[in-house]
Amino acid sequence: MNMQPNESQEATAAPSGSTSEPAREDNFDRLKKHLVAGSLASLLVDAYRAEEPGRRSGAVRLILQQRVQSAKEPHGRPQA
Amino acid sequence: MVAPRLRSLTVCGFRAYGRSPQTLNLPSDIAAVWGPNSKGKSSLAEALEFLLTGRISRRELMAGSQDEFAEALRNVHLGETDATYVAAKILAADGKEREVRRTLKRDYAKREDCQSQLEIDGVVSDASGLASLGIVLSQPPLQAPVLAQHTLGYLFSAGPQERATYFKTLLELNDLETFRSEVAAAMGELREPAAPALSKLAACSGIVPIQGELRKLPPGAPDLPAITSVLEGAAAVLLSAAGQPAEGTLAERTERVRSVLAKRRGSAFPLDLFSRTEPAAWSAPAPEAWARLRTYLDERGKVDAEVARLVTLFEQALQLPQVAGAKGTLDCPLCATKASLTPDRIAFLRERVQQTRSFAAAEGAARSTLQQLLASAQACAATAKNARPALAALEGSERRRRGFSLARIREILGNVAEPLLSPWLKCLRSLLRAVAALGAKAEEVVTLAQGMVSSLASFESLEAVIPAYAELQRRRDAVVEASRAYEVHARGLRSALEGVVDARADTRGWQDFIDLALDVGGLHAAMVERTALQSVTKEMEKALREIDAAKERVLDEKFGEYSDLVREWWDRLRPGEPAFFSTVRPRKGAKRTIDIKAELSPHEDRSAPKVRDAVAVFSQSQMHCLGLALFLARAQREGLGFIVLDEPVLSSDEDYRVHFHADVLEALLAIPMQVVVLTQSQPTWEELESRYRHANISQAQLRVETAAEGCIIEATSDGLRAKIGRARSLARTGHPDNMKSGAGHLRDAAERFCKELLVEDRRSQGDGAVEIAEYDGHALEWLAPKVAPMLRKDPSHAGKFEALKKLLNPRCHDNAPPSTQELVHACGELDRFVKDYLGR
Repeated sequence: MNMQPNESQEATAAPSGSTSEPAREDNFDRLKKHLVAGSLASLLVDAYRAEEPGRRSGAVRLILQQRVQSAKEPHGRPQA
Repeated sequence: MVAPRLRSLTVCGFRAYGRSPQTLNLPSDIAAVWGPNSKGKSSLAEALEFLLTGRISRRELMAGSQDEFAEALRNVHLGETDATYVAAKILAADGKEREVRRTLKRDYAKREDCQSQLEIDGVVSDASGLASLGIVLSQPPLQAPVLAQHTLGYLFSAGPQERATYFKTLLELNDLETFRSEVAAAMGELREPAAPALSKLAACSGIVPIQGELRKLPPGAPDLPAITSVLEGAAAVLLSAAGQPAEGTLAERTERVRSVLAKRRGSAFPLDLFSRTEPAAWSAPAPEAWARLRTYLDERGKVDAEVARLVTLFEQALQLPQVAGAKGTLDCPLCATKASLTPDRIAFLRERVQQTRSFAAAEGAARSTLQQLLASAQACAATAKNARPALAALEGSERRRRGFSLARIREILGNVAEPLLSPWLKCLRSLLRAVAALGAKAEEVVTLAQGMVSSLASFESLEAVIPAYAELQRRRDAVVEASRAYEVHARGLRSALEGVVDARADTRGWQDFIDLALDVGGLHAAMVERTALQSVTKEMEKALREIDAAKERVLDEKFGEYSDLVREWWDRLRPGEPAFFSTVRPRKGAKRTIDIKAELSPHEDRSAPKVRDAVAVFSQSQMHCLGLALFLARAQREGLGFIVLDEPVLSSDEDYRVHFHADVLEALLAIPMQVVVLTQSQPTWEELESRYRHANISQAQLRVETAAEGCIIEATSDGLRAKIGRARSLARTGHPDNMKSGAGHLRDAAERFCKELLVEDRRSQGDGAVEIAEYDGHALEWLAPKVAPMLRKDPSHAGKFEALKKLLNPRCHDNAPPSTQELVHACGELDRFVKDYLGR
């Protein structure tokens, strides 16, 4: 085994500060057990976890926009 | 997939280790390394930590002394070109052996982190590469599966917040924290509706006379008729108070309110002189317009003036049946000239008539285009006129007569006047200059276009008109730009004046009222929006409370599960103690505080315990065990394949050592988890060898011969004496498996004896560079004949060694190993050879 370091490769800022956290169990499943089925909180959990990481904040905001839209609808379309 | 295993760890130039690479072989799931103080145990543990994380946690945990770790990783005695690295052979989760190596590129500096490069099988990698081998790092700062003295106490010495972060990360609740933050952030955005209509409503609710009317607005989001009705009522109140007719539609009432307001304001200051018209949309003529005019000029050039005059006559003649169907020469039907209309002449006439028709069409298009150009230029001229504020249309004397002067503005606005006036004046001048330039050019272009319209038949080219319109466009753009800049400052100045003027005229809020009354739909939309947002915000607040409560319960569950694990390890370490670990859990009502609780029972059976904070009631020994139990619970929970325990039991803790040796290690091996124990206690080391011989424990010793050479790892389990001793131990058990294993150890020992003797012989002959590794791979059959000539101290020795070889050679791989007596005797003979020829 060649024990000499490979000097030809550039040093990188290698210290690994990141923590890899595999999903050993789904926290969201646990969370949902303590939420009322069909509640807004439960709906938010579903929307959030259904999205790819990185787009999840969009999922929460979309739910809110839909709620606001629904809340407006009984008052009809505003007239100019 | 199985958890990964360390198969070897090689350290070179790292901390106490010198330039010669030192390797700790780890063939089985348990290893014990003995070394007195300052012989490299901690450096070995930190080497694994560095390999996996690129740093050592000791520096991070001793935050106050980070500067002191400058140049701490690289062995101080290394030469400039000597490498510093740690490498390991790892049996990865996929069952394949991989080489992981981390080379130090830059050591810690006073305020800088170290830099290193991780490679897996020679390819640059990172933590994700380690994860692909099944090596998952834990949460900072204790990322590596290494328990050292300084990490044991971390959780007790860490502040409450760090401790909370550590456990929440450990229990993997960060995803829920992130989710909660996202929901809260989204909810926060709901609270910021931009609703100028609502601001105006609030402002006009300051008009005292109409407060009663406005209070009639139903709460929430009333419908349009309800809002209109309330505003009509309010307008009526204002008009009645001003002595004006109060009936009519809302628009009619609003217009009257506006008149009243203008009159009142006018008595204080002529704000209307700020009024102006924004430049209407305008664009220069399209290229098609110029193309139509060019077509017209072309067609005009083709047409003979006399033909154009007579074209109607010719058209009628050509439509006559005898002419239209003529095959030969005809008399002219117009002048009756005989045989004057030949077929060629008829064809000529048809061509001229056709040309004249094209000209007529082009002429019509040109006339229309010129009219459009003229209208466009006139619109520009109007723009120039209207873009000026009304005050610019008045003579100075007239402005002063109406009360508009800079002095008046300064008097009204006081200290705030100047910062508003200066930029307004500057922009006003720019606007007036731009407007004047546009006006002049627009007049010029209007004149030009009018000339073209009136002299359609005679204008000769477009050379003057195209650049004129281009310039018109440029000047108009300048007006738009100046207008935009002016409007910003004019609005500021006017707004400031309105504030004071409305206060003086008692018309505060009136403008807001007028704005609202003119846009009831906007107010309705804003009220609907506000009501919807309030409703959803309430829902969200409730959802957030539910999420928080559920999250706390998940946290409690996970803390409970983790506590159970910690308690299991605690009970293995300190069974039956009346003071024992209870739980680790968040403090009620203080999410950022994690308590580690102990229970104190007055009884042997731990009944009727009192709960206290462990930090306050545990002895040093108990705290040590608690740190170990927390670490082991974490390792088990995270499914780590291997752990390194640096002095896991205090030397003063005789009572509990046996529990660690017997129960804890056995439980770890049963998981299964590979364990490397580093200890300075020789009795511990020896006991582990005896206790875990069945698990093929590997053993090593650490020593330092010279500081420059650094620490040396000596694999005693591969060493000669150790192998003989182990073979003898196994032989005496009488168990067939152990006998077979013992024969193997004795054969290894005999081979080792041969190699050492050969090396010694060559060194005695002056070959100082010879290494025992040169004989790696050679078996006893090859080695024995080489050493036979050297066994001359007794005439019987060569024969005895030959017999030993025969005993071990054929049988070491057989199902029928040598008998106990044969093995024990052979061990004794090899012992004597070692003593006689190697002097030990």
